[in-house]
Amino acid sequence: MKLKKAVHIPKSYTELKDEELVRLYRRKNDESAFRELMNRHQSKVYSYIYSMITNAEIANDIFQETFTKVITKMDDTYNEQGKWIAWVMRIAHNATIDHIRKQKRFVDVSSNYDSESKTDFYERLPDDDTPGQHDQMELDEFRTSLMSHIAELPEEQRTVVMLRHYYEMPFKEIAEITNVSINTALGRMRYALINLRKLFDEEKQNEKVKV
Amino acid sequence: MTLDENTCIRYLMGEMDPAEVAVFKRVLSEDQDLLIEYQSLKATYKHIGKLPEKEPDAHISENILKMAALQSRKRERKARRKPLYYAAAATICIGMMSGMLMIYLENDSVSADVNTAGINIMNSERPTNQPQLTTPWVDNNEVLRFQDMQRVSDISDLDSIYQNSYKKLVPVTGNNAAQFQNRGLQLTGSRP
Repeated sequence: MKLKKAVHIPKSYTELKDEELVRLYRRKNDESAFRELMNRHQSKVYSYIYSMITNAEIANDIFQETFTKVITKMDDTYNEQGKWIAWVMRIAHNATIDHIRKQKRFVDVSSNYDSESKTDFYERLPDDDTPGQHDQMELDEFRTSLMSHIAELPEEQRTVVMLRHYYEMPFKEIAEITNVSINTALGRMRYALINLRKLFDEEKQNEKVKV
Repeated sequence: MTLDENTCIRYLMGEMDPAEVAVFKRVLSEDQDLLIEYQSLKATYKHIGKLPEKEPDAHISENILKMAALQSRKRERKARRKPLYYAAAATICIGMMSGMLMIYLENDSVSADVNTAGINIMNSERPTNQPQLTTPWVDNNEVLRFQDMQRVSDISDLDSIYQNSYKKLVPVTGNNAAQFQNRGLQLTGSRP
């Protein structure tokens, strides 16, 4: 769901950089500026949280918790020197990891994901550029399989993959957010891709056996 | 450029500088194993690009926007109250400073009084034709002390005070009056 730009956000806001919007919101109490920031980033932040949790309800809670912190702490802790979204992602990441640690387990995809996300996650995809029904089914199947494989990765590898995918974040920033060196972050990405490759290969093998 | 296990991923993720890229491309064209590893990582990474974006529930977004509006109004109220706080702080500061100034001036005038009262005045340049009042004072030991520089002709005044007071007052034991070069009288409290 994109917020209705035409109704809520003046056109000029869409041309402003994040930092300028943050300044408008903080110094001029401009609510439209914050609305534009939300409009730009909410789906990426939410997708990141969801990909780590794979439970829509909990992801909504963590998303709300993240933005509550963003709103209340922005005046005190965000110094406008770094990227605003990197700061937000750090909050989202910490909230997500806190939740995962509280649960004292990694998200179990096979039990959690299959029961919920197949019906929840993909049914609500936008219909723009919809390919043919058959192609769409294939794409959905592939995405389901991809999502389940990603969810099987160790948490630290999944974090790097998601931060990179949803934000095209440089590894320097990923390293800062996850409190590791750049080399470690790169290593995690490499292992994530190797593990994903293995999972895809195993899946193919299983399909062949079934046939 | 030294090749390590992250070299491929650095290249794939665009984390190399142009000089490194040129070197890596050359190495890649010469090393089949490296090329296979790179192609494999690239193909898998391409799959990740197909991950969809997901939206939070609409009511959650609306709640957050309401919260942002509320926070913005709070901030506005706080900013409006700021001048009042400054004014109040300035008033308190001015009050405290004037109080301190008054106390200081009061102390200053008292010490000026004491200085001008002629107690322990040893000023030899004092005009001798003007009669000086000898102001008694009581120190912490409840000692009443009269002390002044006297001209020889005025000594009779002090003698008369001494004589008149002597009946009512008790001289301090170990009278130090004799030690003064000038004549003086040191008395303590009334007789019981």
